[in-house]
Amino acid sequence: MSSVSGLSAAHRIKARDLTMQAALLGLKNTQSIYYTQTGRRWDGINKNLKAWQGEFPHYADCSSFATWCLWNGLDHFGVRDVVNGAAWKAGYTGTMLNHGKVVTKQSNWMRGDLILYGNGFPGHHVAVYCGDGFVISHGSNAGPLKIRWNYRSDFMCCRRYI
Amino acid sequence: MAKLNIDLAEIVDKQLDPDAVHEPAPLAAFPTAASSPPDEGDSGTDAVPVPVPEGDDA
Repeated sequence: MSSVSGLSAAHRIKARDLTMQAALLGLKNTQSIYYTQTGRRWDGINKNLKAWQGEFPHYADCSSFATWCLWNGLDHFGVRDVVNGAAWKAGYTGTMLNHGKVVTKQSNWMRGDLILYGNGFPGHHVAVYCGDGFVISHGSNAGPLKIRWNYRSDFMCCRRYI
Repeated sequence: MAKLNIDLAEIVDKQLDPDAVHEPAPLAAFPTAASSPPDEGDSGTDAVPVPVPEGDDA
């Protein structure tokens, strides 16, 4: 089965590395990343902030942070917006649920997959899976947190975009 | 697909090498949150452009 991103296996590995680099940079700078649902939540992409250059957005919500992480991995290879289908300019859990593909078995989850929460469409929260049963979740002014994937009771699905 | 891979490789070659940058500490270096603050929820307000209906003004 072909990948969502269309990247080769080697490039997918690199895309996951870059995605995780972004998520971990957010975690490292958690006290400098605030929660907003205003237009500033797209600063990370709009200002072309690249984690590999040590750059990260200071404002984001859960979906824009997750999108920024994946954008770091996918835009590097010129991949179109396969996360939200909005040219990397918009998106939320609803558009994420309409893109990518579901990874059913937890044992198959990979770094850079997204974990979506909520009771039915369009979802309510999203976090970046980072392996070993952990996600990095940006859901409040506490900034991105490393936490178990099942810290919420309303797990919906795991989706892959790389 | 082969042509796509070639094109992507060309794109990569034109970009700076991200490997040259120091990567943050591995995940294990970060403490696990004992509990998470309530998630604020997601914003769907700018999710996708909503097409404007036409011809309803008359």
